[in-house]
Amino acid sequence: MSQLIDTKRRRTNWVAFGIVLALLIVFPFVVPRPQFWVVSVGLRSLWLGIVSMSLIWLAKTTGMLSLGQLTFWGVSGYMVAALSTTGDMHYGLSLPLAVLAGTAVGFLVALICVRTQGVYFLMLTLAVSQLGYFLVLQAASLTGGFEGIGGIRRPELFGLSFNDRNVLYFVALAAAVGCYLLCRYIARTPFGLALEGVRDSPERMQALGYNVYWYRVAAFTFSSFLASISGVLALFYHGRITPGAVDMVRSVDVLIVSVLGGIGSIAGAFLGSTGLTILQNFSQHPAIPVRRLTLTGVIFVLVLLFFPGGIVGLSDQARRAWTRFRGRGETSDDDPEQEEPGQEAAGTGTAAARG
Amino acid sequence: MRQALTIGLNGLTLAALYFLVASGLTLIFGMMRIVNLAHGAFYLLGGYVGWSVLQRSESWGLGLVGAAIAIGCVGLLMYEVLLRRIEKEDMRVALVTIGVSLIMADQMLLSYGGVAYSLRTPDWLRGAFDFGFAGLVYPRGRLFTLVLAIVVGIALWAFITRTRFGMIIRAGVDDRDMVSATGINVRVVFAAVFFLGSALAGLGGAVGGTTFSLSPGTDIEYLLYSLIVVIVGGMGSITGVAVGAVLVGLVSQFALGYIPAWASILTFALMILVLAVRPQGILGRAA
Repeated sequence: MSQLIDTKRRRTNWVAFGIVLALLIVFPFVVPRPQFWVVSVGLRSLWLGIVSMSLIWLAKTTGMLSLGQLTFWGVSGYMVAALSTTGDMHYGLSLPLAVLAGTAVGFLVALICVRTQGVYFLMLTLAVSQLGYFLVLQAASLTGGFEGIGGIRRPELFGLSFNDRNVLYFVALAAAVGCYLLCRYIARTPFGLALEGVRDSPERMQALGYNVYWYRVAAFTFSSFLASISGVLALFYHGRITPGAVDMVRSVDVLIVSVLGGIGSIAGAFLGSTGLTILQNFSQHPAIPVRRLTLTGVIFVLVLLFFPGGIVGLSDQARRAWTRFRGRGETSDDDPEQEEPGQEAAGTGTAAARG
Repeated sequence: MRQALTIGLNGLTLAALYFLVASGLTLIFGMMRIVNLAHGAFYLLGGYVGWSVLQRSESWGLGLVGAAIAIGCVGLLMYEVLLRRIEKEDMRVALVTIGVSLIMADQMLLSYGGVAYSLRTPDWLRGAFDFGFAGLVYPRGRLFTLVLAIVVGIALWAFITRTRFGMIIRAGVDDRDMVSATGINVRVVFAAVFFLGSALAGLGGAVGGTTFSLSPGTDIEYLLYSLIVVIVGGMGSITGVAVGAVLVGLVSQFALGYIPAWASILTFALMILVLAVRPQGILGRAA
């Protein structure tokens, strides 16, 4: 029975995935004002979605909520800028090197951070990301200090220039789809299953002979790999990189995207990033009296308080509220399946915290 | 010699400021398992409030008291309105406080702008204090920070170990449910602790705003240092915060004095070293 539902649900998921992908492919050709919709909204949502996905994947699979993802994003971005703009290295070499460097820094940070759990982990990754910011400012000879590194030349791929917004959009889309499928795939490998075991019951996994520490390090390293990929894309999106791109507000942006989309689902990262991007673009409209950051903060707090499942969890939450409304007074709860997704969606607090 | 002593004093007075700020953070965490990531924003707002009160009343002491009370109330308000309903979920609470810190930072930028403020040092704290040996002279204002931190530290220690209320707090740290089962109104105790912890951030802001300056970004800086101090010293322990603050203050100032390029790296290295040996911090208890 449950397997039947499972197969059915999986097929629906794939169909939905195909439809969304098709829409995203035609998107740049049908929208008006492509500079705004394709670049300011589409591209930004894609790279912001990838770095948020790295946060969500880590939180969902291991229960560790990291505020440091933007550090690895920044490492790879700065690496490309320093090697290929300040230096003169070919992109064919500097891009893989940059992703590797971001991942390697992620590995080093993981060695320390995964020794702690829960809010300690949150604080520690926050401290790491802020130290990263101060280091970038201090190492001015490499990073250009406060000015950052500008004038990034965009590369060419098979004769197609990244200067063309559609080319860059499709590269970002391909990267996003690739990362998404990779996350989905890993969840089904023995490694992904072991990680879930580590999240739910580390003691038992330890007793079974799994090295919990190294599993956590590996998971964190993988998430920093995703963040590094996003860093490269974001560099070509901005055309420059400054310390302002890795400050606290931006780190919190990644968190907001994840919470807005819903920490229970990796696809939520893209819903959240689109939501935040549109919100931030339109909140500059003179008709809206509140400042952009204040509005973002207020929405973030409201989502945390009232919609812990984010956008992805909305339908479940609505269904549960409807059931409660309809069945007031009765204690019937004959649909056990209904509880499960809700709890997963509420994982922001429970699963992630207890880890 | 004189240079080393001066740097040492710099480190200690900075540690005093870190202690004032971080002790509030750890007090709240120790009692309620709430990590208040808006603590840095509370610090900055405390500084601004202290400045405004000083401008109107011409009294520095009043500025300090005003900052402490105002920020205590802000903290209490945040706890009662936003946090109390979800206080069992420590992660969600921490995230909400990040949101609050974002809103506060933006609103403070709107009201006070991007320029740097500084509280005017009162006349009796101006000038330098002559130690009378090794030719050592040091600004009175900064020495006062050290004295204030020691007084606050002793007061907190006495409050927690010698009073009935402190006894309740210590019991609450160990077993919250049992304390409420004995008929103590834990809600009131929690509210009081949140008020006190936030007030310390506000006081720290007014004191720090006298020695150093206040501008957008100061909030993040002090949040970061408070976090490092409590991570090094151990969450939830007042003595731990004192130890952590002294270590962080001394390491960062000596690094700044002798190898400035390495200052933030060495502070970070200190944190890594402590975490590698004792993940729960020097005086922290294993979770």
